[in-house]
Amino acid sequence: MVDGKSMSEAEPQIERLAADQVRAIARLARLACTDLEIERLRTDLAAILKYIDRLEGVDVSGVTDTMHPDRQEAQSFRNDVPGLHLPREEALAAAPRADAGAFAVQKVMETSP
Amino acid sequence: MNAASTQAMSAVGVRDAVVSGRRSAQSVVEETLSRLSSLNGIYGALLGWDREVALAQAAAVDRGPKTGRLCGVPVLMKDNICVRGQEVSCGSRLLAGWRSPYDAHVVERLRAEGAIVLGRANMDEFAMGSSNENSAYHVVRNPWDLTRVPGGSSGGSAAAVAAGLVPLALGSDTGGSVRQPGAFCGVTAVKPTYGRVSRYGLVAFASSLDQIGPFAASPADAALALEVLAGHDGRDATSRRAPVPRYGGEIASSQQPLTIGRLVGLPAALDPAVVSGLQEAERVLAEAGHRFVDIQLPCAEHAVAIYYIVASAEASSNLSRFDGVRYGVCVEGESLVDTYAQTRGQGFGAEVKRRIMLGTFALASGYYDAYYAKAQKVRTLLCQDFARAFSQCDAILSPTTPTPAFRLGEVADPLSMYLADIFTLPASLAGLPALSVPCAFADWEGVKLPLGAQLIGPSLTEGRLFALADTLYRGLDIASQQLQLPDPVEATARLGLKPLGGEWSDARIAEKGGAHV
Repeated sequence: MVDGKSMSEAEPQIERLAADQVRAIARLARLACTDLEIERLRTDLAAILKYIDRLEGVDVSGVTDTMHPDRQEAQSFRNDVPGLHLPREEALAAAPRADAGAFAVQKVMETSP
Repeated sequence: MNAASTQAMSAVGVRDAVVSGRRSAQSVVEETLSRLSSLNGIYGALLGWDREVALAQAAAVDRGPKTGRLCGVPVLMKDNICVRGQEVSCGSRLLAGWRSPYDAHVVERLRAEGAIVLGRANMDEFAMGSSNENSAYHVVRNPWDLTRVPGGSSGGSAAAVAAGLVPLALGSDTGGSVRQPGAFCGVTAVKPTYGRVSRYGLVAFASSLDQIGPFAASPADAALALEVLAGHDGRDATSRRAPVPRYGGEIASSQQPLTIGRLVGLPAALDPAVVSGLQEAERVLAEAGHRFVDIQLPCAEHAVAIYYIVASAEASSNLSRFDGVRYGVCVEGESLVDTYAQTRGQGFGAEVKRRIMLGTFALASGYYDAYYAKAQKVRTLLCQDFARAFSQCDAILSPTTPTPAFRLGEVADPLSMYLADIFTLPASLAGLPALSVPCAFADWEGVKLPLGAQLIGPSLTEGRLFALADTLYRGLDIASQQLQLPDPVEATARLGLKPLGGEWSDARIAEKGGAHV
């Protein structure tokens, strides 16, 4: 008992995201996570999102986004002229799998029966 | 061994000695390599270095015209800056063993000025962290107290300069990753205006925030480094075209009294040592003729929330390139999508996964407006706060961190770690130049721990910040306090610490985890 309350009342309930929701985000993020990792993320993400929810109270009506901190400077594009670029063999040198001058990946389309 | 006797000379000192012929670049590099061999096992600041490559650069400098502004000066790269032919792992197992096929813009700039590009500094994996404990390889020990963190994410760079292993190091600052370790380790650490230094060849974390910045013992050395690093580069679409001033010259010439904004009203539990350190800084600046006014940045209290949405969202997008197809390790799964997931699942550490998950959540359909779009709007309000503040003052003074360096393993909760970034995040979100300069070395449980003062200026006012930092550096006699670094060999023996790997070779790192994730 703490201050006349039972322990369960005194201890704040740990908020967690639903496991299915965390698994769905992991699928979108292409991250294979162990069950233990999912459990930790349920708590960690809930705590961070709860903190972030403080932005709800900020009035942003009529405010534009800042996607880039340097609004005054016009975004500059390069002239579209051919230049020296990474030679193909150097670009492929670190590839786990390369074949016929290209990055090789597993089959992504099945042939219909 | 006396720590001071093993420390590197200043960058300006090395440059002048090499240019005048009093020293050869080769002797400078040999001395640096010898320091690394004997001391890196204690600090763990570097993940690796290549002796032959360093000596070859020195030989080229010694044969050359010796006109470069960093002639013969060894400069350490954070392990997320690409150096041609050198491993760049970003402190991650996922990229272990990857060798960059090209030089970053900053590396080209350093080479053009005669610098010796030397070694890979340890870092939090993909620059995510405030303690360097997220490195996939090993921790970095704070040179002032080997049981404490050096800060992060550029912890290796900060510790290497603080320990005198090298006179200059580069880091990257997304939300404070140069300034915070600079404060924890007692060195000068600079985050330039967004776009001042090209990001070409910096492995991207959060592209609207990332900036490369230098670490040096003194503001004068940091100014010299930024002079070399800054400038337009067509390969980075956000690169600024503004001419680069001679920052060192601005230190010497700028004596006009300025109005300095004292940042008040931020909800942060400040350690008493931080409060008194900042008061000392104010005293010195006031004696130099500068005037103080109180200023507020009402939206800065939301900086942590904005940052962890914006930076995580950008990271979740940027880090999608690490999929096991083009570089890094590959863990093959049953399908291509499974290969992506297995590679990333096994290659990334816990903090990187947490941020990718958070960013993916914030960008997900149905949540975008509530999180990402909202954060970008509050970010606009924060930029407006800065604009109002800079109508009343020329620069803003605040602590860099609410506390001195914490102990290794002390902060385990991710949110607590994020909240400690409250002072460095606002300038990052607004793209403003900011630096951290040591303002005190507090007596703390029997050791001295450095504290940093942060100066933030309007866009492209790095020269003004260097001049103010130099006033503090001289007025507080920081140079002589930096020399009182504890003897690393004695401290290691006293604490019974084991070496962190000594002279790490890339092969040993690969053996340790890279090749077998």
